[in-house]
Amino acid sequence: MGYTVALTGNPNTGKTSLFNALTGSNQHVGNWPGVTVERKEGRFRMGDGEVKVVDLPGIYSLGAASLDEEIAADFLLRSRPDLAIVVADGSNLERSLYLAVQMLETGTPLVLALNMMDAAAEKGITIDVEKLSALLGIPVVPTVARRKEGIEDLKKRVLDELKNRTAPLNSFALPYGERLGPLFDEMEAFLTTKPELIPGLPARTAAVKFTEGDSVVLAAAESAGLLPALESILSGSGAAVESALGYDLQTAVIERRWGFVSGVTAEAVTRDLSLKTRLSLSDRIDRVVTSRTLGLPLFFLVTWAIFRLTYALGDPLVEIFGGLFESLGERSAGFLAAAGLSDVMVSFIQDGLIGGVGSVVVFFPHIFILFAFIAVLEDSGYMARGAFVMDRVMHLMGLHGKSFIPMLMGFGCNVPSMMATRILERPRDRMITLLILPFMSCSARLPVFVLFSGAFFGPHAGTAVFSLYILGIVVAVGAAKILGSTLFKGESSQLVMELPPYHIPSAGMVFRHAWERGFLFLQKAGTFILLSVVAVWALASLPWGVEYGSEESLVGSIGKVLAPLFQPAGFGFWQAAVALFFGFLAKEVVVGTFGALLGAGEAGLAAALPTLFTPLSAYAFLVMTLLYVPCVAAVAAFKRETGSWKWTFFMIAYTTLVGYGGAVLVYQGGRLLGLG
Amino acid sequence: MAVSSRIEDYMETIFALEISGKEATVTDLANTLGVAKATVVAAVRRLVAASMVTHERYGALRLTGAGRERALHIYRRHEHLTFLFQDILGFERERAMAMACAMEHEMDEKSEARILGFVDYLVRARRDGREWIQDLLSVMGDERKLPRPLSMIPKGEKGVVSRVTADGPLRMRLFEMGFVPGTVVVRTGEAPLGDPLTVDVRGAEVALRRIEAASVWICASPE
Repeated sequence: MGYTVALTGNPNTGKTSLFNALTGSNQHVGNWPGVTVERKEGRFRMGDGEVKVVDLPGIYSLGAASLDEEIAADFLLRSRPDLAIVVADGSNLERSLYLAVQMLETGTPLVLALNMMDAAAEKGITIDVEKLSALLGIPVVPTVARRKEGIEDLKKRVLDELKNRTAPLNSFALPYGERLGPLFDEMEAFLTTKPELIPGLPARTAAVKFTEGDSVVLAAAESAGLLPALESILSGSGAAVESALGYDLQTAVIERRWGFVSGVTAEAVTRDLSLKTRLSLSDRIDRVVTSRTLGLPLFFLVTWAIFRLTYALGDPLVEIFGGLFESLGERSAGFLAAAGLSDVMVSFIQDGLIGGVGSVVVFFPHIFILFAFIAVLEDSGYMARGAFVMDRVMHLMGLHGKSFIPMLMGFGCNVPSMMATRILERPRDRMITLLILPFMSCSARLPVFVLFSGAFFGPHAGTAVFSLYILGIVVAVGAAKILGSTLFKGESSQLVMELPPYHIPSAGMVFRHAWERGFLFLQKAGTFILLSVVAVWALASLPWGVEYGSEESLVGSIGKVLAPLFQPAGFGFWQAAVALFFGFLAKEVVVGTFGALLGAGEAGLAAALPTLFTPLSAYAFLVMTLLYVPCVAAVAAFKRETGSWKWTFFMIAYTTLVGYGGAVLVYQGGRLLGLG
Repeated sequence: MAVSSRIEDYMETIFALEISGKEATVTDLANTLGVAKATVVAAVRRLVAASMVTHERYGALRLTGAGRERALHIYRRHEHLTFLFQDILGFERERAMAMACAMEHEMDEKSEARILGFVDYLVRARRDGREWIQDLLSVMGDERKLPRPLSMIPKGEKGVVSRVTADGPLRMRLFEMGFVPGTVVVRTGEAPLGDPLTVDVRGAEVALRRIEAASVWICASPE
């Protein structure tokens, strides 16, 4: 029989390294049911024991506040793994032990992995492993996950513990003192007469967690109908304790627990004070990196470099992939035609299938490279500094410091930028950032801007293009403000985060992270993109026999129906509607579509466009192109990141409305000013 | 029986004169309270009507039994409050009297009893030379020893968390980061634009916004 083991611990304790070291390449990434947070599982074998390891999001305590924390707490409290490995940072034991002690209270069998022992040694910290193990009553294994030290020992102890537990279950009772103790006795006595609130959770721990306001236990108490009884104990005996202690019960419980943790730490840890140079390397780096003068310029430099490098390294690969799929399409078309397939089938395979797969694959290089950089930033500890340095500015827009990175990425391509919102922990910050990203002018919109500006604005073309970029930013900021004070009102943004010590990221981790992201994109967003490409192909090719995307095709008919709608924006002709429709595939396709519809090559377009547009209506069309629904890949990425069709449709509708409104405003405003 | 706070001042003054062995006249009251004689006469008329005072024509004012009982309360409140403000909390006499005057009319029996008990206890503690009262007096005398929000602690300064006033998820977050009563924290630095700031807490460097730091109250560390 296999065992299930949860891997939990604070963020920045090397939990992911430990997970990789434990399970090697034997991993599987999925989603937690109903939410988009990733669920990573791996396996290891030792002797005849097979163990499934579930890697939980990093948490500081079981008191859940964010989605990640909720998932972790829910899994630990409700799903009750056979055992939990708590990963502790050996160089800062006290902080890690808080979670470990909370876990002890749940009665789950535990093994404490004392990780980062090398960093501890550097800081002159010695931990008495035997003593710590005796104080907590659980096995403690020192490890250095990045160098794979202590891993075999850890596996052995985990299996030992699973097969023949050395410590009796539920033997741990945190000394809550003479004031809180009797209160918990009373609640425990009451709870033991009832069915267990949460299966497997000791009654005393349920009492403690209820008192400190744990949401999982509160909910369980409510559904069991025990809420009034427990509350009356708290307001009766609890009130007396409160007034004797001088603060509320929640504070009292948490203060006692921290007090216990401090006590254990003091007994088990000795610190060589001669090595305690207050200015560690990390502090010295921070003196520069977060300094008043250099902090911001350095951050801009780093993000700009990532932006440039992602596209500089990715673009040639994209071209290679693009070319590959194009020639593959042509070759197979030639081959299939020769084999006697009908034109429709050939077109379906060439433009629909191969073109569709191609349009998915071309995103892979950018995503891979960007996430390699993001992994470097996160693993090195710089990401937290970036958020710290930028937070003031981003907070003015109601966003989090970390939102800056996806927003900057958005100028390159909205797809990786949407995936980059994963660095935001709070759902609110993440949702608002996702919703404003489509307004960041991605590089695919640039060819459209350049073509139109060149054709209509002559010497002012550069200014026109630049004004569109600025407009995108202004709309994004405005949208963030409005969304923050309407749909997301009341949920306050919050930034209380640890600035972890710097360390050199490991190449393996970076590669693994980048690969996982890229692969997930192909897997999840790919299907959606492919289906959409095929659907658009069908609309452009049906009814059978018409020229692809012509006036007679379905899409042409749709264009003609929609055209009057665009009259107020100055481009009420079917070609514009069709171009916008194809722009949904990829915004640069707008250029090619006009080329085809006007019967001019891309070179002759600059001359042909003025037959349809005036300069004013051209600018209105560009505003529409900038702001309306992002391309199908971005929509797919949005769906993948939010996991919600409702929000996806909302995004499509509101961006399109904003784009349409903007175009109408520009055209009508321009006419009033006599520019028409 | 409607006796306004201003009227209570008259009774208190008559009582004060009485216990120093003097008889109160309209002129004495006008001088002590700094009002016109006509005002005093009007007030006395109301006191007589309320059976608090008897008044011989052109003669002395005397408190009735009920009036004396009531005046005693007011007088005692005044004395104790003045004592609290002046001798224990260290305000100047003028200021102490003014604050006592403002407060004494607002007190009911229960609050009076508690404050009296409290003042008495402090007085006895001081007389017995208890150590803690010296500590208390020195804390009250030193602005820096009062709790202040973490956001107001100067950079580089050390302190001890006294309480966390945030609620909801922020409260939980601060608690799990180790900001609990008794924790020693050092305010280390701040972002280039002045917000957020950084704090050393339980071996980690934690960044938080000023608005969030404002809900963590810090006392000066004991050393």
